[in-house]
Amino acid sequence: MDKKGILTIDFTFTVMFILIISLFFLNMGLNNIEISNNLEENIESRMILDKIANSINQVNANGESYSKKITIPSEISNERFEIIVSNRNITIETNNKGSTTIFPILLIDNDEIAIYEKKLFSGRDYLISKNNKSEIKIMEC
Amino acid sequence: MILKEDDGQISLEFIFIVSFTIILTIITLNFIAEESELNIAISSGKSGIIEGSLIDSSGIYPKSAYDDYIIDKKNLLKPNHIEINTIAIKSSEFDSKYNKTKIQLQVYASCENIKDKKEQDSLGDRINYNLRKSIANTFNTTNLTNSLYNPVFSKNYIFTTANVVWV
Repeated sequence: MDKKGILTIDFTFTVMFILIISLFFLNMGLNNIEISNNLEENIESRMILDKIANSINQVNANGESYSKKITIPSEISNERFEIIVSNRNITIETNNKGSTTIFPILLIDNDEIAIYEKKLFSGRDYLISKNNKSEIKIMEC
Repeated sequence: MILKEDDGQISLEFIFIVSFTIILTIITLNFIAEESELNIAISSGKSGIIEGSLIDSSGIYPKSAYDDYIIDKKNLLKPNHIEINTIAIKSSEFDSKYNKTKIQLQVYASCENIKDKKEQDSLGDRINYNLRKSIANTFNTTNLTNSLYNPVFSKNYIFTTANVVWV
């Protein structure tokens, strides 16, 4: 009976040694995963900002009644967010905050009244359009 | 019974070699552990530096930092390309207060667009902060240090960071 299932001392040593070493690496691995999650959030925010800024600049550069539809992703790292478009820049607010500048625009709301800023919410579609007075309207659709 | 015991026997030489290796390992274990600790610290520091420099590059910051930068450091809000050149051990001496070896790390980085001293300091501080934070998380010593992770501890070392040199 005793001959079955006996561990050699070297094996025990090896396992202990591997355990000790892997403990460090486990921590480091977890740390790296956390780092990449944080970075993903930052880089995704920047990409969304740039995409919206490009769309607005494109509409602004084109002529009267040009329009473009944008879809804002529903979440960044499982969290909802909002974007504020103002006359000169676009700001995103998740856990972090960032902004990008656009060519100056004249913003109007749905009733064609001039506004300073427009809030866009995650997970919705918006239509950016330009009217005959070179004003930009961002409408939910 | 005797026939049975002929199976699976290991030679005496093998036992000698294995036991010699084990003894040697135990003797040098301390030294090896210390060296590997330093290696692990530096490599986790590296991943922290990458995190810091990528946050700087993306220009997306925590809210408080953003509100601070929008006042007089507007260049930082744009995406910038930041390159990490080297990480060096600036000084290493024994600290009798903590009974540990104190190591000061210094990062060399470059960024073409940002030349203002104040702005460079902000970027550098973020890189250093993430460096220390990463080491603290790897060695599970976040409870021993302050909120800025300065200095940060591992088992046998204390790490501090010198200001980033912009080249």
